[in-house]
Amino acid sequence: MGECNRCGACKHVCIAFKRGVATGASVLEREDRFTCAGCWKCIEACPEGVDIYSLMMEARRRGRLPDSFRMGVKYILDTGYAMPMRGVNAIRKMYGMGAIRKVKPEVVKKLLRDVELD
Amino acid sequence: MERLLYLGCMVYNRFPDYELSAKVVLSKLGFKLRDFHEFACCSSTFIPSVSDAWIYLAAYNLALAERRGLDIISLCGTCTSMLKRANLMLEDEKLKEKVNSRLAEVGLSYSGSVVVSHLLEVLKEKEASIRANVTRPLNLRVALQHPCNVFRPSEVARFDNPFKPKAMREIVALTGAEIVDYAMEYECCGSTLLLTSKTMGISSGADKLASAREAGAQAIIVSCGNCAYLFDRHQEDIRKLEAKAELPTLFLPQLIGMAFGLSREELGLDIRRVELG
Ligand code: SF4
Ligand code: SF4
Repeated sequence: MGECNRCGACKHVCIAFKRGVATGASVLEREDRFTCAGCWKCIEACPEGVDIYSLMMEARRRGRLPDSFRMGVKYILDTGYAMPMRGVNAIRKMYGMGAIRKVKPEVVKKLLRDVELD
Repeated sequence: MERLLYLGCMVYNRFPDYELSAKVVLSKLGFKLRDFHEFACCSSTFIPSVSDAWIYLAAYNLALAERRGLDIISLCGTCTSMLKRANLMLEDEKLKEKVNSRLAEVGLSYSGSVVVSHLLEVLKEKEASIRANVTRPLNLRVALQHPCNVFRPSEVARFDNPFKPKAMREIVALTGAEIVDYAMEYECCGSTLLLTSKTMGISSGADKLASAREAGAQAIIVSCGNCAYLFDRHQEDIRKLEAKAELPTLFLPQLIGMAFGLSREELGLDIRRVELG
């Protein structure tokens, strides 16, 4: 994996930068690492092969988690899905679609036991 | 040609019409899809933002498919990318061992055999069959939204050109629809920005749709639930910001199904009440 030479190539293709997220030389040099579309144009643009994906995720883990992310994580921990599935099977039935067999909470608890929300 | 559809949370939660139309079009093309609804979330953008443990949940889904002995067709960008990323990482034997000891606790194991392909990848391989099924070539001008994570990061996606993908153009061209070039065609939709900045998400959606409509499009074609979430579910906010951004959202298999002569009902077109002007 390459090292950043601060060329700025990643930032100039970044939709978050274009829409106003304050950014230093690279997309990793920013306070707000969550306002990111996950489009990963930054990775394609980087001439050094910097592992922007992993570095971005690691940086997020050091900062405060925004409420929307907290909610997404919580839904997954509680139900196995990132969104509420209440009522979904009723709608599915209406359209003649098979029911979701909801993931067992104890399965998710085992798989993701290292994930903690403070 | 048996496969499992990996639908993902967004499609389950909001877009039954994507699921319905994908199923009917894929079965026309000879695929046998098992109705399988035991998958969990892929981990999305959420779990990787807090922990490396995301791979256990992604691998859980792959292990369920492996137990059935079937490959996966996915419908959204991020699900595709997370499952493919997990597959790639699990080429490392040490990590695979670690993941398998966790999977064993829930009665599963994963050897790494499941191939994950997004809908676009399988449609691309079925061009001849699509052509043969078109009975009503479309008289419609459309703009395309290329789903980022199906092409990027390219080291994970391993499909098409990461900055200027061609697959969707080539597939849509088979339906007879006219594809308009528009200035913002290869930009990300910006939907994920909604999570922390509704303003940025809405404005990027508005800019894209306005650009597509200005180029003469009568609909925007999507092949990811997250893009549809912005363009369709937020259309009122988008319109409030930019009146010229009014444009109906169609899922790619709905468009293909129309060219196959399938009914509105079969394609779920009344579920979101899609009206094409
Ligand atoms: S993935 Fe995030 S940081 Fe990278 S270019 Fe896209 S919006 Fe910017
Ligand atoms: S493109 Fe790569 S090398 Fe250049 S600033 Fe961004 S991360 Fe650093």
